Amino acid sequence: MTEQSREMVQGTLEMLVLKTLALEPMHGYGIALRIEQVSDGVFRVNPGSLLPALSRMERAGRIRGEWRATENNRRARYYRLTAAGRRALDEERRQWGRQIAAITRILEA
Amino acid sequence: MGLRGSLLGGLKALLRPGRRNAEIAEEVRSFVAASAEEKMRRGMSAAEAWRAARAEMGSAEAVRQKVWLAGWASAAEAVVQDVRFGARQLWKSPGFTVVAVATLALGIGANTAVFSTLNALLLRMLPVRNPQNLYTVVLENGGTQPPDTSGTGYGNTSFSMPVFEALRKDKRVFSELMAHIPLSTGKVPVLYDGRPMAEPGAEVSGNFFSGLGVPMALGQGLSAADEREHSAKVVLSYGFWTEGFARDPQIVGRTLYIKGTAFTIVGVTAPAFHGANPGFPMQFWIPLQDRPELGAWGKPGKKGNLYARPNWWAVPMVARLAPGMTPQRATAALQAEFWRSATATLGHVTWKEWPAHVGFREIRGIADYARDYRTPVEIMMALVGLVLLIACTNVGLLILARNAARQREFAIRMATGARPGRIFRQLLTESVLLVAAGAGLGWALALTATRVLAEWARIGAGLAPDRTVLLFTLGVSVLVAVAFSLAPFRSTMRLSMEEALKSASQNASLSHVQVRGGNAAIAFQIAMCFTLLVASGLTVRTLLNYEHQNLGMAAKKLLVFDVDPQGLTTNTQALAFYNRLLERLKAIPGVQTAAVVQGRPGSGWAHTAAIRLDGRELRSRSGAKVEVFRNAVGAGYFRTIGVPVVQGRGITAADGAKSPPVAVVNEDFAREFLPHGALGHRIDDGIEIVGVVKDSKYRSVAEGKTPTMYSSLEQVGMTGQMTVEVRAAGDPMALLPTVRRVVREVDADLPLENPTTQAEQFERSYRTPLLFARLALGFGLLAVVLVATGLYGTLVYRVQRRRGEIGIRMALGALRGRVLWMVVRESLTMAGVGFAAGLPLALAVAHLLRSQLYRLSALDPASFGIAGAVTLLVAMGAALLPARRAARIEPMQALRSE
Repeated sequence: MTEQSREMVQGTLEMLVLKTLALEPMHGYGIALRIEQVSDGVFRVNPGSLLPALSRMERAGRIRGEWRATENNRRARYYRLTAAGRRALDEERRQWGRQIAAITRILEA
Repeated sequence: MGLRGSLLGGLKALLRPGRRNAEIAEEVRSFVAASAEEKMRRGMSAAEAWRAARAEMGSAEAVRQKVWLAGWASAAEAVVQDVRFGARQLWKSPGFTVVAVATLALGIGANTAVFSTLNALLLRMLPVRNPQNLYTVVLENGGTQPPDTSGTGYGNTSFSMPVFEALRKDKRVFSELMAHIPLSTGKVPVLYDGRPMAEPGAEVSGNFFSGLGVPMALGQGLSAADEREHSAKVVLSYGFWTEGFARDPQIVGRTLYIKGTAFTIVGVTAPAFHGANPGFPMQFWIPLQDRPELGAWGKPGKKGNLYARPNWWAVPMVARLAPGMTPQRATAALQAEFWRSATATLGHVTWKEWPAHVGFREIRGIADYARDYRTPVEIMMALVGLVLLIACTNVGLLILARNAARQREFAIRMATGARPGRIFRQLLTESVLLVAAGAGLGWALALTATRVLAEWARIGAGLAPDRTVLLFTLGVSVLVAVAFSLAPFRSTMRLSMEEALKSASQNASLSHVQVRGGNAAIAFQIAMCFTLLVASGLTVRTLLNYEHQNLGMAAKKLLVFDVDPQGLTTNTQALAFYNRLLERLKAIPGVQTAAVVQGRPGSGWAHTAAIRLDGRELRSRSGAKVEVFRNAVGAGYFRTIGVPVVQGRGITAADGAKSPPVAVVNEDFAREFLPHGALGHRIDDGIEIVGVVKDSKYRSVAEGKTPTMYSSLEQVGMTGQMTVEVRAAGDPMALLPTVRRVVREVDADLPLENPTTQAEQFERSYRTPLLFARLALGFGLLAVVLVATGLYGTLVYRVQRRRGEIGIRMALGALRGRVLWMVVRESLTMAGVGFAAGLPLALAVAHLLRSQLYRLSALDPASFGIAGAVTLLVAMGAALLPARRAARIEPMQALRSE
């Protein structure tokens, strides 16, 4: 697997974060780890992109962060999805589906 | 929600950057720690795991910065982006932008200036602590001072010293009662550092500054002890400190000579404070005095002038009512004490003779001006509102046309995924930018305009905009901005996307809705324009009626100024002084002659008195006691001002104190009281009428008959303030520097007061109509320009959009003349509808104006006719160029580009 394929498709990070958080509240590293595991290591999330994205999404009201203790008793900022976040996830999912379908049609034409 | 939430969060982050930064830093650390833990769990050594985790993170500081920015940059960036995009769009069409901004600036600026005037004249309160509890004390019912007392000419606001002393003790009614007595009806001669000046000043009770709560810029005010001891202290106004002393910070402790007496400067008030009566702005204040030369209202008096004369009603008062006290309750509570103190020294006065009680008038605006200016200023506000409406419709039409031309752009953007909200935001941003630029420029315009207005109207207290005005302007601007973004947006969005994309938008014809909307807007503008032109016609013709009044004297080449020489106590001294002064003045090259007079013509004031004629009380035919106008003049006065003597002679140097007393009367006097020849008859105690002169205006241009008797100044006394009239061969004001020097040579400490030409002095007597006419004319012209440009722009735009249609018509055989007529007819139809709508409005405005007209009917046909003709010309003129352009369209070209 080349380095390039590990780059995320432009603009999908937010959707993946929303989806990840839809399961349960998580802290930053937890999100990164989950995305990497679920994608079988295809996507590796760089903290330099993830943390700003979290901050942006929090400001946009899609997620909410709060400080909590981890299982190892350290302090970490846990994020959970808001109602607006859930709506945004649905919307992005639909958009994504349409795009995939369109791209597929183009490729198979 | 997104935008708002993110802006709020951004603001929070901005206000508390430290806390947010610490939070981000901690999150970064915890991320690294979690990452390292995970790596150790997978079997890395601790050192290796931490190194790898740190490497993944990269520069922690850079990440922290990125996170911080990401949070609110998204929101701020969107706004900045919108603004930059909007500005770029506007920059790309500089013509549109300049016209729109200039139009808005004129509309908003004119409204701000007029509202600023209205605010200063009718609304503004004193710039002191809790101004809403302050009242001018007035005499009600009686209207003026009690019988057999002397007054000041300000009958309903002047009281006697015993009344003031008695009332100020009442602590139930008053928090403070303050007295403020002018040292002159005009200006007072003062001397600082060898430099003579003349400024208005007042002597005040010790509680004046503390009671009013006047903020001080420097030093302090006066105290109760200062009043008791009549101490020689003076407080300057900020304006006086600025103009007379160049804001010298070391001014406190210096000496100012007031009417020759030395006073120590102890303080300077904060800006904008000019005393308790904004209609009579003061430049300095001293404690109540008992020196004869500092008598109240400039009256030279005996020692203890104020205190020894209980029957002189000369004390204006301002009250701060106690908390919870209303004017009505105060009047009732004070009545007994007022009546007792007012009449104690008068012997027997009955309620029937003098049914007076004290009242309280709120200090708001400028009471003295409010009387004259209220109606004109309110009408002005309405008229200038019409100007703003025209300006707004103009810019609205411009924006509409521009957006219609951009439909293709919008359609493409929407087709590529821009949401309507996004386009709306862009339109809103552009409108806000336009209005912000217009309002900023308008505010600057208003600052200048109010300075000019204050100058024209001679309002010393100033009309400069304050916070109230700023709020007004912001409010107006917000309304305008919202209106602009909503109206065009709706019509822009109504067009379906495909429609706009399909047709070649350059040549697309206009929808009926759009044309009808445009027509209505233009007809509305023409109605407003016609109304404004009628108003300016009426006011300008009123002004002309004033200007064409015959003054009865040759006023244009007369220089007039006042002097109030100090230290002249006897008539002989005064005579010698004026003889010396006149002799020197007459010797100036370019001066033909000069003379002294007691009452300056055209000042609005006149001395009137009842007289006896041939031993009998002067009565009118109906038997009522009649008062005549009186003035006292020096030798050669009639020749100097150019009033011909028709019978007998004028007053000469021979009519001195030792000669038999003489008088000259005017023709009004002679016709009214002595129709069979006036010469030789006697007035009062044997004053012989020795001459009859032609009538001339005394107080003002608009006055009617003025039966006047002129005495000889030498015989009635010439101490106190006098007016000097100087007849010049050329421009009288050009003589002023030389005249000033000559006056200084005769008396180094004598300032020359209120110099002007006699013609200008009379102009002041109609300054309200003058101001009104200038403003109305200005608004009318503005309306013409705005309507002409708006109409022209709309027609040009329509012709351009109809190129194809016109081309087809011409290809089918339409003559160029018909095409020309088609466009002109469109304009004239709109003008016609505008007239029909404007006429009732113009009639209503004319009806409002009628109290302001002089020798003119509100239905003056000339004003209506001219206004109609000008509006028609505008409609024709604006249509001509676009019509010719339409007629020149080449059918083949127009059709090919379709």
